[in-house]
Amino acid sequence: MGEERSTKPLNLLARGMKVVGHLTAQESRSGKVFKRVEKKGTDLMGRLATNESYLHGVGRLMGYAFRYQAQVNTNLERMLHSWRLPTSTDVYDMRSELRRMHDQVEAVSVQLESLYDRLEQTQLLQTRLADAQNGRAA
Amino acid sequence: MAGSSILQRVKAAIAQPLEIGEEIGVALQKGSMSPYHYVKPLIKRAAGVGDPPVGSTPHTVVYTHGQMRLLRFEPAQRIFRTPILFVYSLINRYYILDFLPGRSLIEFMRDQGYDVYAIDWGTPGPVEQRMGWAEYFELIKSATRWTRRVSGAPDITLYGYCMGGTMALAYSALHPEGIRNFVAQATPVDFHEGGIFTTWTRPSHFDVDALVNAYGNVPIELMESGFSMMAPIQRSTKWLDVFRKIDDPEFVSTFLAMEHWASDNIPFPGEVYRQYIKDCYQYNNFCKGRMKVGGRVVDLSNIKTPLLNIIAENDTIAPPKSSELLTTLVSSSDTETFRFNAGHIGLSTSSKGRKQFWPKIAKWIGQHSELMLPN
Repeated sequence: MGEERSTKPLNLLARGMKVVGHLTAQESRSGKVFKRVEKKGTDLMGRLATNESYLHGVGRLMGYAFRYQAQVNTNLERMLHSWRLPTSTDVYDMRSELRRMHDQVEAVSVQLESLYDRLEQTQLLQTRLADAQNGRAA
Repeated sequence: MAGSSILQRVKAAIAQPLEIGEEIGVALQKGSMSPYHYVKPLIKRAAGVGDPPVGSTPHTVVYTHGQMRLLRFEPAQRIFRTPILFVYSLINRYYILDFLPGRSLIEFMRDQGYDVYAIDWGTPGPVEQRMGWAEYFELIKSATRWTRRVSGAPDITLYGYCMGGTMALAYSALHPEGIRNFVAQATPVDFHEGGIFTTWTRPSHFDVDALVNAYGNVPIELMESGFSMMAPIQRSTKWLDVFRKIDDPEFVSTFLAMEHWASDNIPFPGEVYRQYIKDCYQYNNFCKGRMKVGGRVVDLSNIKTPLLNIIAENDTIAPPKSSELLTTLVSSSDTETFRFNAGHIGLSTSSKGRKQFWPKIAKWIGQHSELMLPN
């Protein structure tokens, strides 16, 4: 990979992307600056992602947001049900039910096929057994 | 004649930007967080490539239960009687194991003569929201039963990947019957060595109960933001690599396929997420033999089958330190550890897979599998 280059002439969009790619690549002067900024940014984000105070603060904010969301959901569902309107959950259920039916039909057909194979094997075995018994009796 | 040709070219010149605009508009409407949905239309147009053919190995659905499907990838010529059942994680979709034609672990194993099965957990909805470990293990139990039934084999090779490996290990500890071999690929076991995720999910920072109570299933946006926080800068700047190699269709297609999978997030089923975070990341119960499922303790020493532990040296999701303990926790007398120079995803998608990683894995499984008897 990376060696098989297309021989087709590049369209305008591709040429534009190539230029952007070149300007941000290590080989160009602007790319060197870009890489330095990228590395600084990565280091900073890395430090932030493991900073205890930051994580504690974000965790607390998320906790508040989750509890608020739970309250909003309860109120919304209560309101929709009082108006006898379907909620998004109801629509989702109907859609997934259709998919489930399709898959189940496919699965049942495979299961029947497997059952049929087993029956065939059993019949074959019984025939062989009967033949062997007949042979012995003869 | 020339006039109609010019007209067609003008039409095409107008239609293509409109198509791009439409695709970006749809992504905006959906509120997609991943840059993939916004940049993909431009990349496809610039490189002249189509949608990546991910998950394209032919298969049949042999069993379903709710959203879960058991898929069968039947070989043209079956050599091994013992089938392989892949158990994938509840994060993202199973088809990373069936990535691209010629770069698919499932396709590779099938071509080696294995009857291959994989669990597709599907997209969790309101029903899955209330399913915990016990319910998911019941699904694995059904999948193992149907794998044996359809393949006609008395036992199987259970192949767990990532969190799917953790689940499959716990399942095997509780229900060892019918499992001939176990393969754990990039499977975290000691979650207090789980890298950045261990830090982020500490009980002091992360109230998992509040999250599950608020949303039921963990929303895609939250899952995505968690992953993007692992490398927020590279998440955007990696697209510049594609810009540079826009005239390399194979690179562009593989990159798009990877991004397609990475952005094809699904919600994480709520109840099992709560249990996963607590039992694994927060209290390490899984590793310490304290995890309980349906009143029974998950004791990894109950696993006595031959076990192969596959570790990716550059794994940041299941760091080597979190996986290497596994062989000491099980009671199997026949264990082996393979370490490959790859990342978490690279084990299943790297171009090195077909040449270096998978043949070794297939050989190990082959040595521990029953051969098909001639008819």
